Amino acid sequence: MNIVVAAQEMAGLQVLKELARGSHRVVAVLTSPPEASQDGRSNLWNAANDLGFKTFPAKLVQDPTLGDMLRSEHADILLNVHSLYIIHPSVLAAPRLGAFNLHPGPLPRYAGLNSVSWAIFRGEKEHGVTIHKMEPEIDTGDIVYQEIFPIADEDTALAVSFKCTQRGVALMLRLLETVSSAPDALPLVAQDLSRREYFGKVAPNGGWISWTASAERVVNLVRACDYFPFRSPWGEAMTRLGQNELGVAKASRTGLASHAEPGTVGEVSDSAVFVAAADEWVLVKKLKLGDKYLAAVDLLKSGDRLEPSRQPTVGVTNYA
Amino acid sequence: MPDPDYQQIQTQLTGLLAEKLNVEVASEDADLFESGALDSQKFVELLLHIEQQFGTHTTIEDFEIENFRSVGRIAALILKHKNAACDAGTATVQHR
Repeated sequence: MNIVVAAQEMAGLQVLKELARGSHRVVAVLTSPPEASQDGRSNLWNAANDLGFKTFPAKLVQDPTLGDMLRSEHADILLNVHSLYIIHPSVLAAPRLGAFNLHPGPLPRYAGLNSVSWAIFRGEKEHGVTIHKMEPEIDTGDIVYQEIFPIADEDTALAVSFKCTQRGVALMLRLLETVSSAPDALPLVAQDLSRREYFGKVAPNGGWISWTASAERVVNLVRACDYFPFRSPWGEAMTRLGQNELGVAKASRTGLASHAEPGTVGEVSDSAVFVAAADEWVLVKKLKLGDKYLAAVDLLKSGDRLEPSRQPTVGVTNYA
Repeated sequence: MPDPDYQQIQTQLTGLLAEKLNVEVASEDADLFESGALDSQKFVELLLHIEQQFGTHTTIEDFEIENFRSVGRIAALILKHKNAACDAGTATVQHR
């Protein structure tokens, strides 16, 4: 088969590595070029070149003329693996067998962006990955394969993201196996769009912690933001100490009831500090001040008061 | 008694991290994620370097965060693949 891959991140790399070992022809890899990355590096672009694939800027998927190129290359299938751009309808229509997306969420629930973070923030006990046929409307096409897996209480967004990559790439390989041997056998199950939930890019309440919320909700926000040491799409969960804005990078529940004012810093141990949420002490371990990560014990002292929240910014809690 | 292959892989990995990725590792158990040593770019580079330097193909089943948390765990993963490749080679020879 002739395959086009729009790819980013760890999942993109894993798919490319598998394709390099297989017998299919990779027509093009669309990914961020080095000049588009923050530090001038793009390992996926370089990795794709090292693997012998032709690379094109990821943005090209928005250009309808890409459809002509794909037809002239006799592209059979387009695989979208965590690519960040909305693909033009004429590009989606160009491959003979269609375009398929790996979505890190259990569609029709958790459509849209940052679904891993949204699921953790909302306290979900399980999450999933979905391979679906791509339609012009985001994350709406027929479902080919889906796998659901548990989220542990201590799982961070990075840990769940690894689980999504592992399971999602395996489903992508299964898709390729089926379409190359028996495309008519591909399951295509229409989504029940009455159950659809669409989530936006920005963190709830702009990512600011409300210490007047329950400890579970506070810690869920911290975990939902926690891609440490990778870049988090939501940044860190934020709080304020006096004039300083602090990111809360690592925190966990204690199960110890608190009757202190929410946001009050209580006991300071050797490695963490206790901060009062509405119902329970939260153990805060790592903070971010500016661009530096610091142990919470180096920044907070007993009796400090973290601001319960900043006033919500209009338009940032835009999940359905 | 520590497995000499494991020790050798660990030493090579520590060298690879220092030379290619500018990551100094304090010990074989040091947590590469919690310490902040590996950002996503370096992690992608590490995956590629492991395959190039050790000639092993990590599979998607291996792609669990715990397998990459420390030099010791990565060395164990590489050793597992090397041993599996040796066993497969031996089995092929015996079969013939």
